[in-house]
Amino acid sequence: MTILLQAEGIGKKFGALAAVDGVSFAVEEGHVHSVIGPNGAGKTTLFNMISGLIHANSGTLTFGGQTITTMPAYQRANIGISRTFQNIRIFADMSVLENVMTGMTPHLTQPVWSILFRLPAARREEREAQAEAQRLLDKVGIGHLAGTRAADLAYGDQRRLEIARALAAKPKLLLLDEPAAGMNPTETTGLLSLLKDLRGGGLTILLVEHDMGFVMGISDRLTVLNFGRVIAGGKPEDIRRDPKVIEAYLGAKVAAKLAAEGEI
Amino acid sequence: MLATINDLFWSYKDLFYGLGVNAILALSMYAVVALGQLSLGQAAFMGVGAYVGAIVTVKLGLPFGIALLASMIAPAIVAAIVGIPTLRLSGVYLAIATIGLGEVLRVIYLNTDYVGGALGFSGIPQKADGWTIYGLLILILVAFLIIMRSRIGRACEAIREDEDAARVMGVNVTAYKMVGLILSAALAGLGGALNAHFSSFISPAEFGFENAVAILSYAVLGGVTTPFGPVVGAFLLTALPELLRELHGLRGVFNGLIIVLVMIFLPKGLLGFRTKRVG
Repeated sequence: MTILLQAEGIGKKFGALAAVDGVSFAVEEGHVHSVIGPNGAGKTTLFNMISGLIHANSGTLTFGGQTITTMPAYQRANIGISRTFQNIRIFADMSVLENVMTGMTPHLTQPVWSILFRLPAARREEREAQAEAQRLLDKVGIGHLAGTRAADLAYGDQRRLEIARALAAKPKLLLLDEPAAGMNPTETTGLLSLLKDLRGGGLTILLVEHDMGFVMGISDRLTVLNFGRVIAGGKPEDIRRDPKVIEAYLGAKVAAKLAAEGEI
Repeated sequence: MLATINDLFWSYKDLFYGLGVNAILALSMYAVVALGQLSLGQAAFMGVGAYVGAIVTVKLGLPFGIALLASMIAPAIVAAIVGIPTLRLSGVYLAIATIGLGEVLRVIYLNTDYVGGALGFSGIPQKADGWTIYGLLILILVAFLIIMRSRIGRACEAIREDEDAARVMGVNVTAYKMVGLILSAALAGLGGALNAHFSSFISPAEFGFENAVAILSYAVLGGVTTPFGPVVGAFLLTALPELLRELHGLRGVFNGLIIVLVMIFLPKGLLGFRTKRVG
């Protein structure tokens, strides 16, 4: 097994509040690894630290053997970390196709003068990017909407677009922040099969999700956060029975009752 | 007939040249606003270009072409100095810093006898003709149109819409803003030098806050979803007060009114359509 992403004691304080406090975990290559925990557990802060939008106050982050703790976000995109956002953040005024092409930034390398003088190399790169963007849109099932203004898409399609845009960077690690939030059951099923498909292609996925059925159905490993700390980690079947996890979600009383009844 | 056209041209020559120069100044604003930034230093950058250009032709006696080049490089350097501490921050910091810059430079011109101080700098050779002004305008406009249809245009729009999302997409947001500001200053400087070399006289008063707002209003009126927007905005706002002479004294009021009305009724400007970002 190869570790793709490793967090060692990373922490982030906002004033006196430690949103994430000494968190350590490792994501194996090719796995779907989920981070779960109650609201306010620090999941989104953790994602922001991994994608580089905020930097950790303490601890280290390594990606593919390289230390990235203080690396700027755009460079992380260049080395293969891509993400979606909990509250969808597509570029509303751009077309669906342009959104995906923006996601290709790390792979579009033609210099300014080549673009300005419309040299063949620049035109070819643009043509290929367009074809690749279309292919990605087809893959997530919204290929027929390529020319639509992104803001006009239905909610579920906006989520798909965000995933296509994140995939456009050809990431090694895909961070998905609550991708199933607000989706109806049909859309969720579609998303699940898309993620399985991506994992089949060798992509490593780090997932934050509230839908437990969804998480249990796809994850190879889980890390459970509560109040900014890791309270459990391991395979889904172990986490499901972990008293600390049940306590975090349902409270100590319910956990004790379930334990007394032999449920866990 | 020809004589009549000729008369007409001569009586409106300054307006004709002014339209072209103001369109270049409007495009200089576009380079900043297209990235979601706000600069109130375009008049200051224009002033640097005008004074440096005039020094090159009048004091140093060098060719006009060199003056134009120097008039772009000097404000670009000033922009880099202002940009380094302010562009890492998002929000209104650039706008505030550029207001300050404008005031500092105005006071420097006022107190520098070498460039005429408060009396202004006169006797600048009238080297800028319609061909130069409109040739450069078209060149700049076409360059913007091509560039904005590429990955660079997409990155600019991404930054304008959502900086964080652009960052995680691999866009070096700070570098884009820096290049945008430097380019913007260079174009404003060019506009300033062209203006100086057809009006043959410049004074510190021309490069104050009021003019910075006027340049901003070109871009706001026309809109920045396409490079044509600022050009159309500049044409309208330059021509209208000139054609409605009685408004001339109220030009500042007129510009302010237009900014407010456009922001309320046409938040995307007169030219609300957007250029495709696919080349």
